[in-house]
Amino acid sequence: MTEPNLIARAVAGDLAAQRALYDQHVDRVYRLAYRLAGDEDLARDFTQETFVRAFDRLATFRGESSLGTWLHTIGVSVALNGLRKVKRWRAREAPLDEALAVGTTVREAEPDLKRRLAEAIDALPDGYRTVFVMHDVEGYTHEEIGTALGIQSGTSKAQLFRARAKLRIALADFAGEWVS
Amino acid sequence: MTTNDHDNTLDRDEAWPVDGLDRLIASAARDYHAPPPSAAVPRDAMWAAIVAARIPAAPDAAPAVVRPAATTPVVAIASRRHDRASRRAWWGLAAAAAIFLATGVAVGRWSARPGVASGPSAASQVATTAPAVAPATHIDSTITAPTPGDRAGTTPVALPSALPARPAQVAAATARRAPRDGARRDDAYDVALEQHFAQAEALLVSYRADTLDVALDGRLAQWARPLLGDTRLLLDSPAAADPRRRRLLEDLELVLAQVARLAPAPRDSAGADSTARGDRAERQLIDGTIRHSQLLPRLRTLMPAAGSDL
Repeated sequence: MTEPNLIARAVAGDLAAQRALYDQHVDRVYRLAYRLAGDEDLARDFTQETFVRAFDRLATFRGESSLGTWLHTIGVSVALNGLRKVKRWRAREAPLDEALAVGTTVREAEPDLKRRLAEAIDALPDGYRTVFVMHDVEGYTHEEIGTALGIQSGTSKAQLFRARAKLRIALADFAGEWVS
Repeated sequence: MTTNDHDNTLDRDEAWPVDGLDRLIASAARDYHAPPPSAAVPRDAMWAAIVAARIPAAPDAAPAVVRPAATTPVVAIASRRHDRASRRAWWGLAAAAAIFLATGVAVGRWSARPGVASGPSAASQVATTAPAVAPATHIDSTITAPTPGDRAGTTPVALPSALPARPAQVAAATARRAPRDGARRDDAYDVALEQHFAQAEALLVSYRADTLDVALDGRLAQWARPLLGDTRLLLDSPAAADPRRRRLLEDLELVLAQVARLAPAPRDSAGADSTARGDRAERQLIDGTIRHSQLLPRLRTLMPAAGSDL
């Protein structure tokens, strides 16, 4: 059965068709949500919310882009909004680990590249981080990213360039190591 | 961004990674928030939650056959939404309560600002804490009681035959006013102050009419003592917040203290002359103070014409 047929049946309330559409796209939506959230529970919540919204609005889907792109648009929006809320919560609550560490001196080994990179990516502005993750990590094209984020593909490229530049600065001390 | 910048961006995008560091970043970035393998994606659990969340929207939809795996508990989105809604309702109630409390506190602070009486019992406190006066039986019953309207210096000497009723007058006046205007507690102080000024004026007029009558001096001193106590109480009350009233009360306190010291002359003949000389000097001092501070005109100025209706 073709995707437009599945969509038509799903809009009519056919649960099997909805499940079929879900099975086609859930992995990629979940992967992107996981990449953006970095947390299994959040990724699951974002994915669920994405499909709930998508099925609620499926009748408004005009087919101007692919269903996958449309789903990713919803997914990115859900994830970014959800992460903003999570950040606000986390800003209000000091993690227990940090609280316990107060007053103690912890001597740590030099953080490795992956950890430093993860921290640097987390520190990127939301727009840069999303574009970087979608393009360089998940392999989305700039057109897909532009559609998903509601921006021009040129803007997506510019943001990717700036994100990479910031990461280079953040990880500059690894440059000599790599050259040597 | 300029066109050149944009072109450079495009070039760099196509050429990336350009050096070892870029390659390092590109390779390490693949592990950034690495998702679980495809087989580990909790598809069924999420599907069950999605269907559960959409049941209210689609009641005729067939129930989901798939159930969440026991090992992967999923919180239904519908119940989360319900929780969120009820949490919002609680926040709304809490905000309303906070606004209500803040309004109450603001009104309280406004009504307790300087210059406004701090309690409904202020006037009654002035009335009830005033020093006790001598019983009326010790006072000449033929002398009329002073009234606020009695201001002429030529009136018969006004002595405190009605003094025991003074606190009652103040309290009654306060009671008449307070229920009518409960929020404005300063009215109680105004009433007490007007009554007090009227009494003080009557006393001073009586004093000026007194021509070295030793017996009358004793009665004036007796009359001045409770008034002196009231003056000091009023000086410590919000009624004295107004600088004009405060200065007047301070001057009045001085004069009343001097009048209160006009003790009855001893009956022995030995010290009669010296006592009379002392009284004369004391009187000159009091007269000088009254004149110098223009006490009577100031008292009459500060007493409103409507004060007589109290």
